[in-house]
Amino acid sequence: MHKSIRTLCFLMVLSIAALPPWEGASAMPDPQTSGSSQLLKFLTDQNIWGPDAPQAFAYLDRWKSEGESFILIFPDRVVGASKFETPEQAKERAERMSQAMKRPAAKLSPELAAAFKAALAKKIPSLLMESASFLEDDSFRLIMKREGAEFLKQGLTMSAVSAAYGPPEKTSTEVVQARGDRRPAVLTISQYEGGKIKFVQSDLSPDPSVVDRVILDVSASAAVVLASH
Amino acid sequence: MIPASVRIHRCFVAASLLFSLGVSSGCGGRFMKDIATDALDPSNLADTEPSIAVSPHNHAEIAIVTFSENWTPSKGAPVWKSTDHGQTWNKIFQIVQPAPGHFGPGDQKIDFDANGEIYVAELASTAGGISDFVYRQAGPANGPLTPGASYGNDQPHLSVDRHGSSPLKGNLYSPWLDFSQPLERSTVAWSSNQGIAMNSVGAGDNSSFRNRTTRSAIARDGKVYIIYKTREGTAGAPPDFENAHFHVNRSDDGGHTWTGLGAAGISVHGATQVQTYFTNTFGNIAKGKVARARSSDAWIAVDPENGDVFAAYVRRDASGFAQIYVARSTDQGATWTAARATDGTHNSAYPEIAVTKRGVVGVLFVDYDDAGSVTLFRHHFARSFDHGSSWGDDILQTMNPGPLANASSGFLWGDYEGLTAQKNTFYGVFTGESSGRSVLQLDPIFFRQKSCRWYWIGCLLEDED
Repeated sequence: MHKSIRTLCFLMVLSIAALPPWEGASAMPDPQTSGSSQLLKFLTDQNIWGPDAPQAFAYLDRWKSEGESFILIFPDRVVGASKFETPEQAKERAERMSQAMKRPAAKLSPELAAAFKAALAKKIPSLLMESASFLEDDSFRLIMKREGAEFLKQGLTMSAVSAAYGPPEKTSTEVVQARGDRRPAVLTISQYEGGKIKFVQSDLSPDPSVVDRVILDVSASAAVVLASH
Repeated sequence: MIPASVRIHRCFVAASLLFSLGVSSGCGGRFMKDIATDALDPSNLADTEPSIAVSPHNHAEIAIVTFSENWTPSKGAPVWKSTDHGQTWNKIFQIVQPAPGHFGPGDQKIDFDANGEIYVAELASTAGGISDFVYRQAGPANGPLTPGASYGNDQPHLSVDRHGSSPLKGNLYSPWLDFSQPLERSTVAWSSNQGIAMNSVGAGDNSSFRNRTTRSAIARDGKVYIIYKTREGTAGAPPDFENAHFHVNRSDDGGHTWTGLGAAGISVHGATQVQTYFTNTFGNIAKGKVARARSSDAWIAVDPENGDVFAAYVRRDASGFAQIYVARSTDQGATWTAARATDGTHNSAYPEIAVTKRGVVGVLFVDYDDAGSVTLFRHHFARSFDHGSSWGDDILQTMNPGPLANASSGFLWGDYEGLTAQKNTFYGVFTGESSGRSVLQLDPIFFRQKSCRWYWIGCLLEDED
């Protein structure tokens, strides 16, 4: 064989070897799909959520359209991550969100609807949207709640989460300063799914081993729990 | 053979040195101990913002509160107690939840009354807000404490009048900061019935500036003093500092009014503004963890014998560093003379001040050294044997909080720590690096130091119970 042809053949073999594997032939799952299904697993886990969580999830699109990137889900309320300096600013946004919630809630994905079938079968009053002071940092926030509702499972411990899902990808602490000089909350934040879901413990809780709140990425969560997404 | 004249000379020099040492130094060794153990602190809690009190009845009985376990509906938060001068400690879980739905402890301060009964001021929070409570001992010493009336808001402190000579003996006073005012106001709640009823009275001048850092002390004649600062903006101040005045005012009527030194009180450093800390980054953030120092810049104490008033405060001076100054008033707060207690070489803050019965003044404070690759925080205990004119200083501990897992950057030891005096002994507590623990961490470190001159024979002979 001519030397130049041999070189060409060699280069072609090298090029083919360097090509990314054909997607259809890959044994590895798509990272996006894998992440979504893992997030869906978190969001449909009834060991994590209270019976009223799906009702709150159904309004994820409204949080998103109001510009909230993250929401904080406590056992008794859902809080927007956006901090407002004045009560008036928060009130105005809460009224807008309240109006938006008058439209029918989004349809939940079949997986979520199936997971919370029993809870969803019950007739439950609507959630209320209001603005209120968020004591931890003295900001004003949007708060979604209903008397007696349980969004996050009471008493969920971080050790139970770790036992079910493995150790968090990342753990960090955050000192939350308020206007005054009372004891600040020291939060321990355990992150999964690249930060789309975070479990937070607070040293101010009566039992600091309990998950105080879960922080959800609104867009990512809406994408997996709402049928229209 | 050394000539006799040389021997006599050497002897004279040695005697002179010994004499000088004795005159210039205080006698009494310091006892220091990490009061936490693996058994007492199995969760390795940070034990920040400690406060200390010593029973006037029995100085072997010492009580400390720190941010340790929180109270729950079924179990109280702890008071650390020692009955043997601080040699051994126990946690007594006696600070019960004041009302359903209240979380805490938020802020806290501890004291004893003349009968040796314990009182604790506590901040509790709910989803809706903050309230304070003074707990009293209504049963056995280690039984559940009883919360009194709800009052107040941010950073409650506590002083109980235990002076036998005071016409208001038994009264208690709890300074706190009123955030409901357009400009926060230093406020003092008084009680003549152990905190069962609390009566809050505005005490600071907030007509032009926000108040902060309110601390109290009681003289043996029952007059009550507070120190507070007015926050006067940042014009000309470097980052982390703001302009301020530190004022002292006095109540001569059991806290009903705060006009003993005029409506605004007296500035302990005169008319000129000083620069003090207002920061969440005390330390060098490029070289490790940092601390909050926003109301960590003033403290007040009264000489229990002659009534001299001492105010410790932070002032960034010509050295370029924040320094601890101590001002003294010999006329019940009307006039003040200030001197620097630190050496002008490092940024310093978090002063707590106390005075022994013979007028020895002690100041516990923190500075930091960032000359190396990491920030080293140093707890100091300075003493003055000449009423605050000159100071001697010991470093209690040097700490790099970096490797300590329970040291949270932004709130390392808390906004303040604990120092008190009974008879001739200082008793203190600070949140520092542990010793003897399985896991290196922040722990409450107790210390006590008897403080006499060698020629104060009575002082040296006096038993501390």
